[in-house]
Amino acid sequence: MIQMMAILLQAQSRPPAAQSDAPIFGYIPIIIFFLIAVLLPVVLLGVSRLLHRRVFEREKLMPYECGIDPIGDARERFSVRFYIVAMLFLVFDVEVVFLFPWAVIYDKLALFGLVEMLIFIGILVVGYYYAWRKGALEWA
Amino acid sequence: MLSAIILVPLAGAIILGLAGRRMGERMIGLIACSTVAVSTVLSFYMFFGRLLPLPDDARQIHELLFTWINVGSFRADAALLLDPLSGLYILFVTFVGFWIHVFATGYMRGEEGYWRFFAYLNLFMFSMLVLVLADNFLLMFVGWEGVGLCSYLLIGYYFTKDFANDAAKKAFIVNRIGDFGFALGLMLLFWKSGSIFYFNDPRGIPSAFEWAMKPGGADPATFSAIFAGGLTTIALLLFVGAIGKSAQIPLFVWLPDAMAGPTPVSALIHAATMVTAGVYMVSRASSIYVNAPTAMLIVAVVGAATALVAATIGIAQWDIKKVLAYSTVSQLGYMFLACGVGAFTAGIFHVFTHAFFKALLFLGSGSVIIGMHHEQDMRRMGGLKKYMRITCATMIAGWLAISGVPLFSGFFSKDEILYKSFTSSALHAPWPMVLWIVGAMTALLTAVYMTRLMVLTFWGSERFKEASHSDDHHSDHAHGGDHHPAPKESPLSMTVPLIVLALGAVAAGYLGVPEGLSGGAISNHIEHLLEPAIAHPAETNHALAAEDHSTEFILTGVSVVIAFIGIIGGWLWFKRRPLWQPPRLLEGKYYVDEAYDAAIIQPIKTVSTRVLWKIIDVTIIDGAVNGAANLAARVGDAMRYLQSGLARSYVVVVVVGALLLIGYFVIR
Amino acid sequence: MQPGQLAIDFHAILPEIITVLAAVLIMMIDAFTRRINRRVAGAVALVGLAGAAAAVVSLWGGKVESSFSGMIVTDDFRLFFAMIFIIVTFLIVLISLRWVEDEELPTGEYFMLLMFATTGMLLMSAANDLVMIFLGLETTSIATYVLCGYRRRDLRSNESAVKYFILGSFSTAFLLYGIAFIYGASYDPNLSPVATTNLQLLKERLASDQLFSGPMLLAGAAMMLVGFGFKVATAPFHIWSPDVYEGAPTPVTAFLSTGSKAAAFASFSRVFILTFFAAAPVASGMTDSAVSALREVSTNALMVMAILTMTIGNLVAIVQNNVKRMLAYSSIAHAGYALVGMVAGDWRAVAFYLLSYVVINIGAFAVIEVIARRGDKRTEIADYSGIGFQTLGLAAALSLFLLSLAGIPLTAGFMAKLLVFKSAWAAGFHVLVVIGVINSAISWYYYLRVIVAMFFREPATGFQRPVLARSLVAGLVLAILGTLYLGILPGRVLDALEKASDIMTTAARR
Repeated sequence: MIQMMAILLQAQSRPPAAQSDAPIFGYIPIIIFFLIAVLLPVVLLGVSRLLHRRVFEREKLMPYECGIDPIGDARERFSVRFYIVAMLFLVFDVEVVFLFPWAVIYDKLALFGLVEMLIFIGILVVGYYYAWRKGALEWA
Repeated sequence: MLSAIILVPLAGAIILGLAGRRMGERMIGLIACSTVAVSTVLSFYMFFGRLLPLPDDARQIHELLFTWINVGSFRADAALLLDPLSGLYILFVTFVGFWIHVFATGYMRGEEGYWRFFAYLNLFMFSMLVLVLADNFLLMFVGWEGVGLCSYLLIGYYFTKDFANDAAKKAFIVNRIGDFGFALGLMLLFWKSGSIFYFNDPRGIPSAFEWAMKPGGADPATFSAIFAGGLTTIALLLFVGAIGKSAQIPLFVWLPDAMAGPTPVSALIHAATMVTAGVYMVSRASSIYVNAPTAMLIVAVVGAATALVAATIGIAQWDIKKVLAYSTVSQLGYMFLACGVGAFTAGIFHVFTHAFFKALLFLGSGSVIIGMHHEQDMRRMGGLKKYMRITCATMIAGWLAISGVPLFSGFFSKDEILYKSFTSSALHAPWPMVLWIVGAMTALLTAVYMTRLMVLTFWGSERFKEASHSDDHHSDHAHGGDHHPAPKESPLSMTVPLIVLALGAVAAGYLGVPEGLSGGAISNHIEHLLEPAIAHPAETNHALAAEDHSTEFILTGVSVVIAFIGIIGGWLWFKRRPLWQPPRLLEGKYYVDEAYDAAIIQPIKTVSTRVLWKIIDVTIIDGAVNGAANLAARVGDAMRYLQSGLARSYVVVVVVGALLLIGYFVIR
Repeated sequence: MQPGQLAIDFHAILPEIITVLAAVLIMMIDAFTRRINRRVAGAVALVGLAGAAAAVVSLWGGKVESSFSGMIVTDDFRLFFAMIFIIVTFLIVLISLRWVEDEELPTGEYFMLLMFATTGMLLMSAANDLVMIFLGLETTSIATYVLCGYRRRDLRSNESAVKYFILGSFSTAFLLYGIAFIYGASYDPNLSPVATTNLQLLKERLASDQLFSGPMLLAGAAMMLVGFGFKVATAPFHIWSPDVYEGAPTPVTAFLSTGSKAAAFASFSRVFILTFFAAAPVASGMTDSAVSALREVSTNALMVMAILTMTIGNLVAIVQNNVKRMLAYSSIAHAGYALVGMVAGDWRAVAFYLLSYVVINIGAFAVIEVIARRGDKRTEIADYSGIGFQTLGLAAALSLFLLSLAGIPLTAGFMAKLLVFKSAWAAGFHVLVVIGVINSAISWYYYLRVIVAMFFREPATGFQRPVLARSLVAGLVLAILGTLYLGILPGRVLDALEKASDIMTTAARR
């Protein structure tokens, strides 16, 4: 934010001739929006902090779980496999993203495009196979 | 071809160093000698076959090995140069070196670490040849340090003996002082002239001497010239290097102690070759010296003083090798005397002849020592001539040569030096006369102490029979015999080199018979040869031309008379009383070692313990260190907040740094 | 070749292709066989590196070409740095062949990650586009994050990896943000209304002052400085490195402190020296333009960073008792010396510095690796007491490396420092050089401390003579030879650098 302000200041200090073609002023509404977005929670939380009454009871300090007493720790450990699957998913998800634009101009790229894409997919297949062999897909 | 001359001994050293441990003595000797033999043959071929056919003023053969350093204006090449000066050096270095190698194969038989000895010796040959063949001062310095290292290793060859270790250390430290001066001189020379090369060469590198030879570049003995860095300073700094390596006053003390090394080492390194490197360097830089008259005078005076002082000490020594060591120091003084009076060629000529007769004398003494079963004290010798005929005969040749008996090699070179110093016009009025008188006195003493050595060793009563074994002798061998069987002649591997060198000692002088002496019948080859490689003081040439030969004849006559007086007087005196007690002052070597001990070593020790240790170290440095430690601890405490090990505090540091940086960039 | 054209030229990225293929091959062998042999994996890696080196040599020849839409550039700058990276990885593979097995770590993945990291580094020096630099940087970083935590059951190793990852991502964000700013600042609404991250175009626009906003450019440059400063570990962005270096397995530390540091310096120099500084020659008349301001400000900032880095690195190294941590700080200090070369705007000095530094430093870490034994147990200076005569070869080698790091003449470290300081002096940064020399004098203290401990202290108890693998000895010998070669006969390398052409000099020629 400080940089933004600084840029703004610098831009303003430019001679008027330059101002007309300095489109940074188009961003002023965004900066104002940004300021409001920061100020709003600060003000709301600050006000409530100033006004509220503090009560420290056991019930009050318990995590809120629809009236039911909490069981165990909230910071539960998940199996690392979730992450591996998530990462693999991400990889192939991104692959598909790359496939879309390629598919759109497929005929213009012709054979060259096909080969390139095969190389790209080939690399991913290698990774996929590696993950498979290393047992990343097994759930046990 | 030139590179082969230096690389073959290196290859020998590497082979012996890596695999020598597993070889037999015969094999080791074969490798060591054959590599030097190859070098010798190549040297002779390069000198006579390639260099001499060239016209007089173009006798230079360059060979670039590789470009070593080339940074900005500083350029140093690993390149070799063969010119008359280096050519003459490689001739006798390889030739004498080869025969000493041969001698050593016999001398070192049965020694612990035979391979190590020859590996070092080959490495020495390599370094010495690099020193001589280098075509710039920096590469020369590499060889210079290399021979120093080999000298250190070989003096300390019997590393289980304390005295050998001490001697090695002494040599090394004293040489460091000299090398420091040399290095400073080198830097100054480069700074002033922008080059470290001897000559302009085909690669388009200018010569360092061009600056020195420039008109107006010559400087008188003004304060600024000496202390603010001029030719005189450079010349003196380089001379400091020469003083160290060539054992001149005041740094000569290491050379006699260096005799703790095996005798072939003494012959090769501490008589014939390495110690003359100083003379070589001064002659190389003759262009600088002739333009720095003050430096010339200092060189001459130091040389003459060393010659005289060492000769007087030599008279009073009992150890046969010590006598020869002081004799070497004395002869080196002669060579510097020659350089100082501007007679560089005469100096080099003396180096050349000296290499033969001094190597011969050392090897002869080695032969005697072996024959006497590791006895070095002349008081326990005598009458050896009938036991060791060859050794005796060859040593007589060396004796006559060094004493300056006419027609032997030493006569020609020494006479030349005396004559040149008498007629020198490079120095002011009283100096030539003074220097000549000192030189003549030295010549007399030389004849006396050499006669004493010969008489005590080979003539007189056979004292080794009556002498009971005493413990104080410094044998250079790990085992001294407890009994004294009759002395016996050494094996062929030792006598053959003696004979060869004896022939050299007789004949080497004829290469440089002074022209006046022979009436021009025999031309002075050495002088003509070296002419283009050496600079002459401007006036000297005219002076020489103007001089008629009568002076030379008179001076020669005086020299001859001196030599004979010395020999006959010495003979009569020592024949009668071989065990004459010389003055204590001389036997104690003027107590120079003791003086150094009292003036330098003890004060340093005292200052070290009393001041440096007790006050500075304990109080100030420890205090400061503790203080610094406290400070560091405090800084550390401060840093601990930063280096807390918590990733989030690291993030804070990074963010603060980033904000500062960005703020600076944006706001300026 | 204008950056606008596609220009697909596989020869131009042959080194990268080869290293990737080697990595994939190791991966496949690892996947197909039950248990990959370290010899096989190592051999594939070494062959791949040799192939990459051959490819680099085949590209050599003083030309300057860009390909792949201006993403990749082939000039001697790139190739020289590529050679440094290949040397680094080659040595690292040699010194860790036996180590991986001794530590019972997965062999295939280790070499695979090394090769991928190398690919990233190669791309970093080949990049002619900020986006490409980012890609290379991330490829390297991700591989090295994993390598830091490679000793999975060792808490220190885990800590190292997590810290490196968190702080690394953080700083990468700065870099990326900086790139975005530069991108935003890089167009002129009237003259060239398309923004760009291509360095060549950037330089041309900077030189002709066709910019959208000067302050934006400066802000972007500052953020990139933060990003690069983090990667090369300059103060105050060095803060992560001691912990990470200490915790990471020793060969990985060696790799981090040499390879990825050198790669970051390559990109750093490419962006700052060859693009920003090159766009504003000091003598140019444009005193008030944004680009000359950029040069002035970044020079000042680099200078302050160099001074801080050298001083902090050396001072804190003095009080370290752990050899690895000491070398971590020493490595920070060395980044400071290299920065001195950057301040002078002389990439040749920087390149030579890094070449020397990587060779020496890997050698030093190799010795530390074997002395530390399994699990990095013996890394305190106390563990080095009196080992000098028990394992003379190793101790002598370590002494050589440490002395060279300190900058003793006739070794690579001396030549490197000499060149850096010389070019800074010539460029007029006298104060900086004086501070550098003082710092280098300070550094003698802690380097010598280890040597003194090795040779002059009573032997430590429990020291066993390590068994040396042949590959490690080969690596050590290469490092020793390299140290001496660059110190005694640097002529050829300096010559190559002298003749090296890069975008900057060709532009000047034009």
